[in-house]
Amino acid sequence: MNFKLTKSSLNFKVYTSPTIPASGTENDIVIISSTPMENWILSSDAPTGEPMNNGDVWIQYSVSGNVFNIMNQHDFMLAITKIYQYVSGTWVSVDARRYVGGVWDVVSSAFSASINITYPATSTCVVTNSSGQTVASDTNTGSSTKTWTATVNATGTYTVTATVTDGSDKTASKTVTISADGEVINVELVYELLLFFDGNSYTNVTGGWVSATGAGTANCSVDGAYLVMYAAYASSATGTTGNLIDLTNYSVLEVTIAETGAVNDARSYVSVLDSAGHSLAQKNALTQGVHIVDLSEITGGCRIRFGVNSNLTYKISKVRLY
Amino acid sequence: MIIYVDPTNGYKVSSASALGRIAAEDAFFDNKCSNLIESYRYVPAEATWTREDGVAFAGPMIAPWRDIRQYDGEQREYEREQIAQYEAALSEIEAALGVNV
Repeated sequence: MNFKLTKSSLNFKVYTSPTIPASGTENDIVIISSTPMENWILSSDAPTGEPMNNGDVWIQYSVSGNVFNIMNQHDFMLAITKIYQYVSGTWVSVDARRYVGGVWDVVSSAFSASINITYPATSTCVVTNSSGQTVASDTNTGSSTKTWTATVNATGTYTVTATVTDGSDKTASKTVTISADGEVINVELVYELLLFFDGNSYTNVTGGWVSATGAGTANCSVDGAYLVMYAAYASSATGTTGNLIDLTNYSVLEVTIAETGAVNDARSYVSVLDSAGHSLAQKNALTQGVHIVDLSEITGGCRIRFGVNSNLTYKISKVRLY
Repeated sequence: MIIYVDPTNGYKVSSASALGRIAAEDAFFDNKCSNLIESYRYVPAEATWTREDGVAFAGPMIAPWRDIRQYDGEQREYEREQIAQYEAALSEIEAALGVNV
């Protein structure tokens, strides 16, 4: 049920103030906000559909609870359950008080949810809402990761983006959904770490891809833009990073297979090895396309290994961590 | 090594069969102690597991769902026991064959 009432029929006023006023008139409702209000609406529902103007207020009520008579000359008992204000394209719940017996009673509290963000060194971090508007931002001038808490004042989908400030154009982003007041969501952003792309083995990171023939005629080699795994019949080989790579801050190993022979079995695989050579994670059957492996529980220095067995050739175009 | 996968619990691996678990065989789990085996998830081919952050991982994929380093000591002990058993069996065979080393 939605309806508008004339001001003269009411025994309360609604207004905004950046701070709680020293005093008021009995039943005054003050919205603690620096955004001015032109109109307000009284409704039994939460805000839906069209607002009026920026700053307009939506008072949600119930017929039970802490009721009071809102009319001057009739009885119309309502209790305020929540008050919202339309700010920058979004309805947000606001801190609001009603003046009762010389005291400002809280009738609505501001929505507040937190996004705890860990993001890389020498970077900026921006949180945007679904309309693309920036709702929070921070800068990390340090040389190590930083954890920062962004507070948002409405439910919705938010995109958290980190951008390096050293001019190298690295960015990383994640999308989170806030669905409740008081919710806390943790987000960790890391820039991708390339291990192979466009013929580049990134030897400063990987130590190169070291070929080892297990049996017969087989090897791992860089050919143009690809890392090529080849094994003749009854042969096998591996290609392994020469260096241990610290996987602590990465949660995904992504491999792009550009070409492969018909394969849907363990003749091709990528695995993550610890420093002693034990396999910690593995993905078999590297068909053409993008494959990802979960690294979220793997920490410390590891090697990445591709394997090929028995009459198969496949070409890897990209290997990265993020 | 045959393992048992629970599709309703993030494809976590068990070394024991139970109602609703899918049996799978993979050499990856050979010579691993039971606690280490049960620290993994095994996403079968044609299946997909979606991580808490929404990233979807298609099978076949084997990856740990908890810190596996906590079982390093147990795994080393398991390997020592395995070697001891092999050596004992080998000694019995050699004795039976009258081999003098």
